[in-house]
Amino acid sequence: MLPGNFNLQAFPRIVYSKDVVIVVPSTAQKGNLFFFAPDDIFNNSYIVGLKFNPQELSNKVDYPATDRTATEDDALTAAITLVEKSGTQRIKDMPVNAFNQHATNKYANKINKLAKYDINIVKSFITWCDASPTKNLYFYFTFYYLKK
Amino acid sequence: MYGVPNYHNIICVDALLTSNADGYVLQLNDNPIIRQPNVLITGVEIYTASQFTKTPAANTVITEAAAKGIVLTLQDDKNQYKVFEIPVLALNPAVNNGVSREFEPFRLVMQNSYLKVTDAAVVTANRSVYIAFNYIIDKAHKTTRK
Repeated sequence: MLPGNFNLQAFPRIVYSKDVVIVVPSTAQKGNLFFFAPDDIFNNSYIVGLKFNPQELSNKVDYPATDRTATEDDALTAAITLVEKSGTQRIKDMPVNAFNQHATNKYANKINKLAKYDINIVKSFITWCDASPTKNLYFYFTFYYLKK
Repeated sequence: MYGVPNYHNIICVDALLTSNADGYVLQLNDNPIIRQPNVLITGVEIYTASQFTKTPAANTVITEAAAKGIVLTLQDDKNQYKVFEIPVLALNPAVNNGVSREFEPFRLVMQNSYLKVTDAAVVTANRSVYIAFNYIIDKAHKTTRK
């Protein structure tokens, strides 16, 4: 079997999941990088799936300084990079909407499995690809993971 | 589960079409990661402005309508066409029920692979085709380097 070929039989079967956000401030400019916050869970886990949630939650009280959740339209100029502890970029500049599973909006309409990434969450980030008038907002992701 | 992509590693390529003339061919640029002898391509997806409007290089991405006027050819290291002039839109999961195109792993030669404009009426010049390559590292590959 080829390395890293890890399959869940019927994704998304939630093994463990954790919701994570990235805050994009109103001052976001073209080329800015916005990093994930530290999270101990990911130090002892393999990431096996990722989902971008633009619509499930209209607001998240943990982030009162931000105005709202990022929508699919906000994500049109955002690309995500996931970096492993080894420093390898497992996903490089992938459109955030590629992880958006909403079937009705023609954005990506698919489920994504990841091949057991041992990611370094604080070195993983979103690239903001265009100057934008968007207000403070946060990108809301769900990581699926396996414990090591 | 058929069609559900299992992302091993993803690298995205920003291919800028500098012309929209019928028959215009854009060879893909060499890529230092894809060039490695132990990198095997397992899948490809293409995104349009419905998912992603600007690339990290600040190029504007082609629209869904434009994707109907472009085809993609991928060639391997044995000079075989793995994909010959497949419509770009057929590689966009958003309009293909979320299906991600997957291949038996192969070594891709970027410089022998190309995009071709087939319909100048729908394609605009200076737009990017944003291609995501899914690849694996073949650990069994023997390198001659010490």
